[in-house]
Amino acid sequence: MMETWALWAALTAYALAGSLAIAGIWRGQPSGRLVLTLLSGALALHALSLGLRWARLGHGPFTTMFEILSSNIFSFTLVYAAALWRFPAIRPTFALAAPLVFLMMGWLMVTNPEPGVFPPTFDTGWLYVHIGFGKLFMGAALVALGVSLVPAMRLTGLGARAFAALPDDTSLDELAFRFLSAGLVFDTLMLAAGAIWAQDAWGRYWAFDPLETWSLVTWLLAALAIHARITLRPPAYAGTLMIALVFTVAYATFFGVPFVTERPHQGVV
Amino acid sequence: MPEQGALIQPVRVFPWRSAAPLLTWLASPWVTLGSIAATAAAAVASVSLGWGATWTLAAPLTVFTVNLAMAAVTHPKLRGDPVLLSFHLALAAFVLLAALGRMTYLKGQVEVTESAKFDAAHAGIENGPWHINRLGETRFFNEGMVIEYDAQRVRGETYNQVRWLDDGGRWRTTVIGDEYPLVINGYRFYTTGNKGFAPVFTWRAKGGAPVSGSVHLPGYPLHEARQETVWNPPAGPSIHIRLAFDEEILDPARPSVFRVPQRPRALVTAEGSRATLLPGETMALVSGELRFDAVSTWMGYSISYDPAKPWLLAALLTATVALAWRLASRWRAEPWMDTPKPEQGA
Repeated sequence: MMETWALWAALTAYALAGSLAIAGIWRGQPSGRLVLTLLSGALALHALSLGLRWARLGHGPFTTMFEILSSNIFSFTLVYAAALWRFPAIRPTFALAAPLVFLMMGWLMVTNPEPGVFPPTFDTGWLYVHIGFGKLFMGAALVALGVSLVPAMRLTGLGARAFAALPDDTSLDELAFRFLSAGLVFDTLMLAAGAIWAQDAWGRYWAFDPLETWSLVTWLLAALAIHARITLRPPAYAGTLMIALVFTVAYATFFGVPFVTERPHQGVV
Repeated sequence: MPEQGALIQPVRVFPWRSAAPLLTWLASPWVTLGSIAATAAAAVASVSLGWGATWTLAAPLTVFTVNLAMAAVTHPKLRGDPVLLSFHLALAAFVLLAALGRMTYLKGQVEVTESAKFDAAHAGIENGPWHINRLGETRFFNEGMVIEYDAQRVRGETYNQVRWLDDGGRWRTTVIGDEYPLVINGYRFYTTGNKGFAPVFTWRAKGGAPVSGSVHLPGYPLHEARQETVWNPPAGPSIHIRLAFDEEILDPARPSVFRVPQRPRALVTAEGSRATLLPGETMALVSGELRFDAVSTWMGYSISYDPAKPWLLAALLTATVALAWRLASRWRAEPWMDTPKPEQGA
């Protein structure tokens, strides 16, 4: 029961933090410190809920769509909160990431919370390495997206007013690509850890199954975007488009394939 | 004796000079971007159209590797930065090693009866064109297995004892499982979820010597309702066999262990006759007699071989460390936000 209450309290706090961030942008008075405080409280409650579920089931939140959504709301927000803490200048950008968190929260609430099957192949330390780097990659890509959306938003009158206090487009573009570059490193490590795990779990390290192939496509698009920015120096709004494409494909890979097949790498667990 | 000019002449037309524009073009960032985009498109095509990934990706990855190598040779910035150079060369090595892996790999599957020896002739395999097949030199026995099941028939750990011949000619015993392979001559044998019952029969043709054989039934519990097959003993008729038992092998209500049935019956049909046999019973047929001896088990193994695998991992980690190092160095040296210049006179 405590597990459910903690989850609901966390979701409420996330909703408050996101709404406050959006309202702050709308009013032209961002309240970054309060948003970060609320996010920290939400993360603590969510960690409690995830921990209680872990203790109850004997395994981490890796097997069902409910668990995957819940743990990713946590990791997305954790990485974003860490970025907001480390780079105070970008705190208003959480308003641009909040709608995605809201979407996942809505999805979570209509998903069956019943526990799933924990396959024997999941009983390995590589699971934590693989999923941990995957969450860091997605979190870094979300921060890159949030930051990179500002130059594009500034092309509109509302966006220009709302984000007037943030650093200039060139600096934001630079920071966004730094997060994407860090994400590429995490993505590479995620693929390497996944390959090691797959070798021991299924007797092959790579088989071009749909999830593996789309993970490769995600990696290639991230590499393409970073290389294009280094060599071609496109304007900031082009950077926004590239990062948005990378994040969209990464998100669809992470959630689309498990959603369609109901389980990551379904059929070989 | 040729004149001096005649000796110099071939140097003037050396292909490198005429190829220089091509090499420069091959090293250009546009080729990098194009080959990465083409690789991504090929990967999407392979998964959405069902094209073979290896050959679909071969062309763009070849261009990508040539581009990386040419860039390493021709770009002064790359040559002058050991970390960046390491990253690019490690990426090129990764692609080349992946190609080598596809040329030399082997993968397959085989079923081995309990107490029986692995027979490479019964393995279904596919391999790359450069694979030197030493599977036939591999010796091991399946010495039995314990497979745990949780409630709801959720398969747990598999413990399969195998006895195998090592490189020094000594027989050794190891317990393997889904994640702990038996490795002989570079071939990795993993247990799989595919296993089942193997009734053992002895066929004696009229006037002939007895021949024993274990008959692998479809996997259990996946094909629980279809525990039947046809056996063709040497110089014997076609015999339809169905295994029947009344007990619950894997109780969905509680944890259990996969085991052979304690009171099995073999329902045998051959040459127009039918009989239900208990272990030790014999059925007389026109062409001979068939004895049902016992029920054993079989284990399905997956086999994999890829000599490039550890080097692939090394190349990938080298590329990742080099990339992380390069990024960290740059980020330390250059702040992301332009620092406002101090006002005049401040």
